[in-house]
Amino acid sequence: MKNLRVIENRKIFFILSSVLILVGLLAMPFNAMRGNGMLNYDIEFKGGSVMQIDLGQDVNPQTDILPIINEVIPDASPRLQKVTGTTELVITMKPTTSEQRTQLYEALAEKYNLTGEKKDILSTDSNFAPTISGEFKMKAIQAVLLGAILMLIYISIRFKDFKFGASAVLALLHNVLIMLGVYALFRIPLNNSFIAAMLTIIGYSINDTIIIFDRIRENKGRIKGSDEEVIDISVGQTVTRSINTSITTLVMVVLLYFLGVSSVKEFAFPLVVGIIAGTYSSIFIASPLWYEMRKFQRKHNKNKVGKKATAK
Amino acid sequence: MKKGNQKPKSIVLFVLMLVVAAGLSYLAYFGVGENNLFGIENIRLGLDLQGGVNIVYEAAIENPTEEDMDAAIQMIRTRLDKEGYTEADAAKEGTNRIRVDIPGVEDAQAAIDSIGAAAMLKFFDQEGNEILTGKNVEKATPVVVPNNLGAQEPAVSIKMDAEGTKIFSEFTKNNIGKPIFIKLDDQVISQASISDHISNGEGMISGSFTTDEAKQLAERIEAGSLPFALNAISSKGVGAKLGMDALDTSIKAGVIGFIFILIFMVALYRFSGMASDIALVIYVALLLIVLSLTSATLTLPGIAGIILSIGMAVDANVIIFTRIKEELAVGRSVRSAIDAGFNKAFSAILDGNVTTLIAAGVLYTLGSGVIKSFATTLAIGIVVSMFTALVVTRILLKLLVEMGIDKPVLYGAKKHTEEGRA
Repeated sequence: MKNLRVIENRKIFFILSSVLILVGLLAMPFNAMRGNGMLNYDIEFKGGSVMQIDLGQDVNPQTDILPIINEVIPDASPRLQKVTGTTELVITMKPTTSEQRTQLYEALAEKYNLTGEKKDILSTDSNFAPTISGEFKMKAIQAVLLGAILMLIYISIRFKDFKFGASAVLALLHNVLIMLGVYALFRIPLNNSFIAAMLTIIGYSINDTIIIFDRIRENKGRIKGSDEEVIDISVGQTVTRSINTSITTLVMVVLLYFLGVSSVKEFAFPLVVGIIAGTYSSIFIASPLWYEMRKFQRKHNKNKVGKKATAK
Repeated sequence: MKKGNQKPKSIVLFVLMLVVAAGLSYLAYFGVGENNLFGIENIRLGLDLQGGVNIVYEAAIENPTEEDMDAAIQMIRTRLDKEGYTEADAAKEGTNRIRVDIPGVEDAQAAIDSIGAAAMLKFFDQEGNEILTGKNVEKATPVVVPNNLGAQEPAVSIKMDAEGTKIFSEFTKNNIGKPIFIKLDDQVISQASISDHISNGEGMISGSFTTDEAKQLAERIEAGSLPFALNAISSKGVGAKLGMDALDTSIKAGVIGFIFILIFMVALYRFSGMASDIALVIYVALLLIVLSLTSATLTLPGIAGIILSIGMAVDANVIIFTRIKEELAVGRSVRSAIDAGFNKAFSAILDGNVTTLIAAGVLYTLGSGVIKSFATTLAIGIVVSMFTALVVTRILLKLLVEMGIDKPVLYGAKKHTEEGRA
């Protein structure tokens, strides 16, 4: 059998993970210092308007478009972004009324002689009131916590061992933090699909961890050996499967990333990272955590017994 | 062993499975009959894929009553119908919000403007003179009253406020036998004739209503006298072209990935891989058929969810085949290795899928709109993939063995099985 010395090298993995998580999380205050906000909240989270419009010709957003917006909607504090390879322009602004956006559209249509059908020219026209932003953040946190707690309960019952549940959920939180770091580092917009991406990775990585724990559960009864041996053997037996499954899943997500439109890309990229993190953590983090918990418990029990003995 | 009898029978069954896989794929792609029943044509596409507008309205007061919210939804529906948005849908979200989805609109901004304004309810006489407006109506409720013949029949009772009572009393006294019209946004929603002088401000509209019609009319009248304004807190408009691009590119990614996985599985697991490929084809077909039947709405994250689920669907098979390889390595026959492989893999597959179902359940409970659809797709995918991976693959592998394809090497075992159990 392939012998992966997971337990022997566990400190290395713990340190590696801590560094990765720290880098991602430190990106948040760093972003804030640069005045960009800790995370790149999409308008669904922070409120605002977005218009994506095809002007049919190449323009300079700053000199050509900005003055028009400032004239039609003062204090919109617009941000303009060209969609590379197209003549499309994305305008992000503070919350606006639909009348204001209609006026802006008409002003642009007049200047650039846009005669086609409006539904083809104006491909996105959205507005979110800032009032719902707090709600979205709450929901994201609630979803992750509720998911984690329910999984903890299920695994603890099925494996008849709280430590399995606890280490699986810790590994899962590890992935959530890494994903969050990716969102902070790469300034990926946080929107509705953020929550979906997070829970997909939670589902994927917990599934991955369970396959390995299932082996440990089985081998524990069969192999007479130390925890260290049992874990290394179990991980060795399941590692091919872990890699094969992550390949089939990764191929799908990577293709989505390369072929998809921008909203799909924004969803696919964190998933790519999440799947890699999920596979890594189920092999190198989850089992070592379980090992540490077992060790801690044994020591704790021994101390108790020892105290009792001295008390006599 | 009655190998001689088994072989032709299992070949027939195997071919039958292939026919089933092909048939299901055909069914999923083309559907049956004029309405393409079971077919992908019937999968409802979300607004992000076919283009359209989604607006969320919020009542401008803290705790609107359920009746008022229903009335507000009714008002929006009336307007959507009037504007010709026949596929549009309005539904309550939470306690004080209404989500409106209008697929395939030409002008998103016009749609937002046309359904946003407050509703106008007015009472007119025969000559078209305005008698009362919605602000004079205190309450409209569906009731059941005995008619002339003594039978119970649905009706709508209207209660006016003080000013309304006075005007209404005056009007009914002088116009007995004449008609009165009720209009919501210039559309006549009811026409009645005055049968009595109504002095207490409590009118009753009866006629040949069904219970539902009476309820709808009451809600429409209430809509014209809503005690709160509706604010559009979010609106999202996606152009048809952008939606189409998103759909096309995602499907392309899915098809390429799917073909890759088919090849990957055969390369790795030979005949087992082939069995799982057939099961995977059945999985995708079944998933599409279920989506078509449940009229679930497919959104962009939903498609991403399906594509992801294809990647994960083979996981169960990978787990099983790894087990089968191991069993073969300790010298079991292919037949018993398959049984042992499935049995030993079951607990891991079950636990893994249940936890993913928990994630889908949480998403469904907490999410709204797009996220709900993603959760539904994910959950359906998990359940269907467990069926195809555990049941379909197993049947196929057994048939392969009975067909005489039973050399361990063909199922991914190493030639020299010196690797023992650790």
